[in-house]
Amino acid sequence: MDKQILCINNLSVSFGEGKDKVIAVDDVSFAFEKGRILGIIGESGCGKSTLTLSIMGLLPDKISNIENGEILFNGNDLSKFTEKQFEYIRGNEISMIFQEPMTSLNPVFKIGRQIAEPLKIHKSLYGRALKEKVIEILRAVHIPNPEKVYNSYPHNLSGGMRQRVMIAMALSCEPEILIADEPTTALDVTIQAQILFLLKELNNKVKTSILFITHDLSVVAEVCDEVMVLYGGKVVEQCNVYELFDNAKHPYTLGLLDSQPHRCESGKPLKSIEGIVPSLSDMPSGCRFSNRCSKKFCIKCESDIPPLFNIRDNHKVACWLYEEGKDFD
Amino acid sequence: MLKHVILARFLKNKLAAIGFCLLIIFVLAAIFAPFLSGYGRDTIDLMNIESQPSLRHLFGTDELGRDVFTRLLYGGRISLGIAVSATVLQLLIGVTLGCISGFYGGWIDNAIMRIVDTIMCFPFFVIAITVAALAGPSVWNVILIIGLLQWTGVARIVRAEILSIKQSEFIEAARAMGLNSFEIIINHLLPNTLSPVIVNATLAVAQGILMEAGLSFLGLGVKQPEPSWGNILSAAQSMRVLQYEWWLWIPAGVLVFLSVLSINFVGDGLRDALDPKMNV
Repeated sequence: MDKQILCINNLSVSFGEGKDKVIAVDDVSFAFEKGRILGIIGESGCGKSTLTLSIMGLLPDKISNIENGEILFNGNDLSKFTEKQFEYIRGNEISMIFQEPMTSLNPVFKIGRQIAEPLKIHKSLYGRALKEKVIEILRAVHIPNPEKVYNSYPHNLSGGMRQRVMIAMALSCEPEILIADEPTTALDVTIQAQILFLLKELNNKVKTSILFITHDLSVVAEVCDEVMVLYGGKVVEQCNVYELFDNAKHPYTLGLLDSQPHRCESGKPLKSIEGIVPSLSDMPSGCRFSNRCSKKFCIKCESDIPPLFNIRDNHKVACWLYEEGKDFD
Repeated sequence: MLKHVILARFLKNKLAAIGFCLLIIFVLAAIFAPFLSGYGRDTIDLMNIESQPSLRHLFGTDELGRDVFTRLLYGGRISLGIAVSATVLQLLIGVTLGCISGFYGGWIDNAIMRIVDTIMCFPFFVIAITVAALAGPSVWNVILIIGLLQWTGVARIVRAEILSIKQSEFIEAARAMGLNSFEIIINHLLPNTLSPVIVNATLAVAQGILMEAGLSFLGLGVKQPEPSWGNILSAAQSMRVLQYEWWLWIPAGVLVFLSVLSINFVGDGLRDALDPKMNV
């Protein structure tokens, strides 16, 4: 539990060039231990996906650029990897499942062949052994009748089944890290629960660490050990999942928590955070949340970017409210 | 199961089914030519020069006394062979360049598409005649001329398909599984472009037959004594043959007509059968 397999230090990613340059991920640092599930939450456009794509080396290289910082995976800096080195890592040591199970499978091939693909590339399995392995993996993700599914096309399967197939594919080479980019957003609630349960079970069984991206707080509560809240490309709060729900500090996190339907009194309109995320090109110069913040209290909020303050063991908040020496709790 | 659906849809189109049967007959006749006719390809029957169709010579004989029926059978080998080989050449060039163009984009795409535009600007017959006149008439030259001038359509189709498919999530997923660009093109992109390419290839075969006939008719394609439907037709260049010796050119004309028509029907049938948006 103590081994850090992924450690990101001061990572910044930008899009565009010259005048049009925007910083999508700004000075993000976190460390990720083996066997843990880390949730990354935030609204659309806050840099969640950019962050994960830069870990996978899948950023569109013509328009985006890793400005500085390092992504240490087992001690190797992924930000300096070549395409060839990435091909070895992807699917083999770090793999990813996507949001849309309906479109993440190639419609013209049978399921069996698609799951076999990473095994062929990374593990050099062929023929009978390959087929047996694929069926074993399908069974591991609780697909009923795996022999039949092996010979089915994606359109024969439901959304939940396809997402299981995607998970099977991602886990086929037993990666050390699984990046799940909103894996349950496109599924209905009962299927969502099954998929989350499956991920949790695989996390327990094979000790795959999971980086879980979502904007659904109830999903976070269900599966994650630790949580990182992103806003406008910056980390605003970082703590474990119990702290988040019992003792959240950052006004943005509190806003998110208050926006959940079950926190709302019946008959009253659902609470929400005022305004929208400003576009990356006109972020406020101080705290990025300052123009929507209900607790903005001083000029500093608008002029200086708050660093992450340690307010407790493993609980960091980027808000001037919690500046050193201030009394909180 | 999918194959059955496609087959059922194809057979539902009566014209396509008939066209397909006709084509099979033509192809078999061309392949088994020596067994269907008692005469050799160039055998001369001096006693029966320019004779009318009879039981002895089904479609009569030409001005050298060669059996027209036999020459039509052997001509089918050449004509269909040229059309198919030229199509294969077109596909090789068109699919490769289309893939590269669509997948890599940027200046590579620009360069390839400008080449395509340039070639598409050439009036086909003018260029073909010039090149054929310079290179000399032969079967291989006809294949090269058709292949090198006609691949542009396939390239455009493949490029357009790839442009849209490469945005799909399953391509990104494939990348996340660790596939390299080459594997993604071969394993994921190409198979998805297959149905329009198949349809286009079918129609290209029909085009090929017509072009071969046109070039050979002008004496720039297949050279005598090798027969092809086109150079058999060229007998009709003489007024006397055109007026009085119909058996020298009508059968060849009908064969070209029927084969092109059949292939076009088959192409239409395939397009409908392979179109995922069509109802069963």
